Amino acid sequence: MYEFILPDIGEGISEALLINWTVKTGERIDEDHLVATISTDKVDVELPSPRAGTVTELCWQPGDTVLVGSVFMRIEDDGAATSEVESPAARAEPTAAPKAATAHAPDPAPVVAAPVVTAVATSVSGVVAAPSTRKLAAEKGIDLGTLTGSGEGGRILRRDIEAATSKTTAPAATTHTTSPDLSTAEPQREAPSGVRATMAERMAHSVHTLAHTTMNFEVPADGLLALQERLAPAAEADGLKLSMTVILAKCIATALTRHARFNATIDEETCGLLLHPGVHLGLALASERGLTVPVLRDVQTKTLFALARNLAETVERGRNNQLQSADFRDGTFTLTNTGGMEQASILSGRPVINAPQTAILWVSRIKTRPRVVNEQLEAGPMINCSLSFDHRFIDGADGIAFVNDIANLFEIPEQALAAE
Amino acid sequence: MKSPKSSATDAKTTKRDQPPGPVCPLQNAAANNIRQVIDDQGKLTGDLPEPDIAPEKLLHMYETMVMVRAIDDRGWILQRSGRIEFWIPHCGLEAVHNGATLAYEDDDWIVMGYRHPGVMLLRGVPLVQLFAQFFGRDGDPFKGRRLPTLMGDRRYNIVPTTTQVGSYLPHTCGMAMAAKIKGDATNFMVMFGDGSSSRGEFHSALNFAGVHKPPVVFICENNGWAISTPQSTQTASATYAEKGDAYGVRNLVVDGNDALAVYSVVKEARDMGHDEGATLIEAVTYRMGYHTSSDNPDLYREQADVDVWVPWDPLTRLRKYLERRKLWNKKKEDALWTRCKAEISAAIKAAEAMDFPTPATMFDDTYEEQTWLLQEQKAHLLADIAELERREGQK
Ligand SMILES: Cc1ncc(C[n+]2csc(CCOP(=O)(O)OP(=O)(O)O)c2C)c(N)n1
Repeated sequence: MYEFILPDIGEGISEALLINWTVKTGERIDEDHLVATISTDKVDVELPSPRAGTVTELCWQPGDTVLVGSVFMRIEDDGAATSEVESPAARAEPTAAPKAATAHAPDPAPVVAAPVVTAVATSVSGVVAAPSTRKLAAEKGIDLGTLTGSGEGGRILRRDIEAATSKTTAPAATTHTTSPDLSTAEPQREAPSGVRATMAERMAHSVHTLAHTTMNFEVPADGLLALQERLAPAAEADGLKLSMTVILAKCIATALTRHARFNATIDEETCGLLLHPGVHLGLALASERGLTVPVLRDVQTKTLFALARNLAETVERGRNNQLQSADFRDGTFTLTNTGGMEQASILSGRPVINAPQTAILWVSRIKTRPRVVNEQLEAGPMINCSLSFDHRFIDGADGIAFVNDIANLFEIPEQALAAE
Repeated sequence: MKSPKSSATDAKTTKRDQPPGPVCPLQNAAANNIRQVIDDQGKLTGDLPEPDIAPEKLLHMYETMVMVRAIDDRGWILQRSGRIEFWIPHCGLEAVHNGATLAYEDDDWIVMGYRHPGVMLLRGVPLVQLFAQFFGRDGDPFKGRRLPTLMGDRRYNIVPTTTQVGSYLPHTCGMAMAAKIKGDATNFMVMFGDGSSSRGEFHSALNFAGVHKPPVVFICENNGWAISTPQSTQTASATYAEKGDAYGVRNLVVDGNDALAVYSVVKEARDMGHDEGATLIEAVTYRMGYHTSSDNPDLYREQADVDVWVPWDPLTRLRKYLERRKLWNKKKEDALWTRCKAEISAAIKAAEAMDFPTPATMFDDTYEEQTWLLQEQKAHLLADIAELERREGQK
């Protein structure tokens, strides 16, 4: 049995978040086969296997924080004796299966042998903790000086902060037999996940830096529905579902090729724009890990069906937690579509631009709404849209030109299929 | 959808605002004063004549460059899977150090950097020794004391780089000056990065070289970055080469992804060293990979900046040139890669099976005779280890 110990892949990393496994137990793998994606303070990394063999145990769940030096997975070597535990550092084997994210992991073996430990410990002055741990402590209002670190040489780890936090928020309710008095109950803390913390930072950056301007408009959706209906049988014959998102994406890509500043990214340092030749459309998706925005690449050159296939595959991988950092890269514009989730009748929004992009479009679900056609009030399918753009780089006139184009394409979406 | 149709205003704005995308400087070598032999298709279009290199020597260089690339591919994975501690990538930089090393004789001294495994291989160091160094095992002459890729071997007249970037430039001048005074015909070469030119030692060394004319070729491997610092914030000079002007040192800029050009200019500079003194050569290339395994270049550079260098890959260009000369073909190429990968796997197996150097060895090699202080420390450590083993035995 070979134990793959989580290595310090970044020179001073003490723990990593497991994003996903790319192997299953029972799977036969070669040396260097990619087994998992992990996220560290520094970078997202795909971990290759040090050994060939059969995967016998994946010791952690996606979302778990794993300490460097703990057993990450177990591999049955080809032809190796089963009883013998072989690993770079000889260590006691934990008996119970590892627990969830905040649960404490088995201690890594000491690197320095006992007699020398004291010398090492005394040579450490002040508090030792990673910047991310310090940040977490500050957020939780915990003074690092009051903690005893459980890491190597007294290093303070995330789990120490989490333990300290749960102590201060220990539920008082257990001592009551009657229902707890909510007026005195402590508020529940929700620790930010890595994704949430990144999101918070990016959202705040966007709102505080970009000159958000939003235009709301509505478009009759008869044309969109008709096109979807006409193409549905052909799509089905190809084993595809032609969602409205795909048709909208195609229309938007067509408009973007004509309005360069909307298909751009901001270079904050020079206060300039990078105008991109290809449309890499970000799609805002709700997921268990929070909002994610996978990117469909080169939408302008793809057919509707190719796009539908592309989207289905992306959604599927998202559902299985298999999206890689490359799937989120290089977006030039974002579409956020509340469509499927929307039950209330949302009239407009103020979408936050996914900086460094310059603009974002929100669209509603298509609904029957009152509208005026040929001076007559009638009921008909409508799609409501809100476009936010960065007024530092895009003038109102540019915004109107883009909205005009989008509205026109939504009304007669066949134009997007014909456009060169 | 190639031609974006648009309203009149939009068409104009597009033109006006379109920033020039990144361009590989090697594409306009002549305009950029970059000496070159072959273009991206391996055609002889450059200002330099085709160098006269014996075919077997040429092929040996190409094969070594491929091996060096394969080492980088594998080394990165070894680091990511925790088998080695650290990795310094060298993908894309193969032409500079291999072309330059080929221009030197085996008795010449080379002071290498940390992205130059080809120096070792071209000098004949066995592959397994390189891997023993990466794994920090007994087969490493440095006894596992240095970061993986910080190599060298005095037995092959290769001076290991110090990690204090640029600090070894004056020493190279000193070595070369000593040879010159002794009337020894040996030549010297030292390699360092663009970032190292900002160190004081670079200026001390060049000044010394200008005045005393030691037989040194300074090779500034300008790979575009010093970790996250680009050329634009590293220097206000147009080139790194022209810094030589200030010190009266002959200098030039060469296409660092053109192994033939590097060979030509380095050979010329080497051969004139004892008569004319030093030359500073700026080799323009690009660090395609991470600075080290601890880096994340997504935080400071765009993929588009990297992509423009792909067609100028030093391996591809040299391969196309060899194919034009009918010295190479697809079959040989495939066989070479297979062989390199197999040799690397075998070297890994052999190196990983070696023992780690014993703790006692860490006190060796600083002094010819160990000082009493070191002897005392060594005795202390060995006693501690013995005690530990005794307790382990009791359990
Ligand atoms: C004197 C010194 N300062 C800082 C460092 C940290 N450091 C390691 S590599 C590096 C970048 C060196 O850049 P360059 O000389 O261009 O070489 P490259 O890594 O790009 O090959 C730095 C700053 C060091 N090793 N030595």
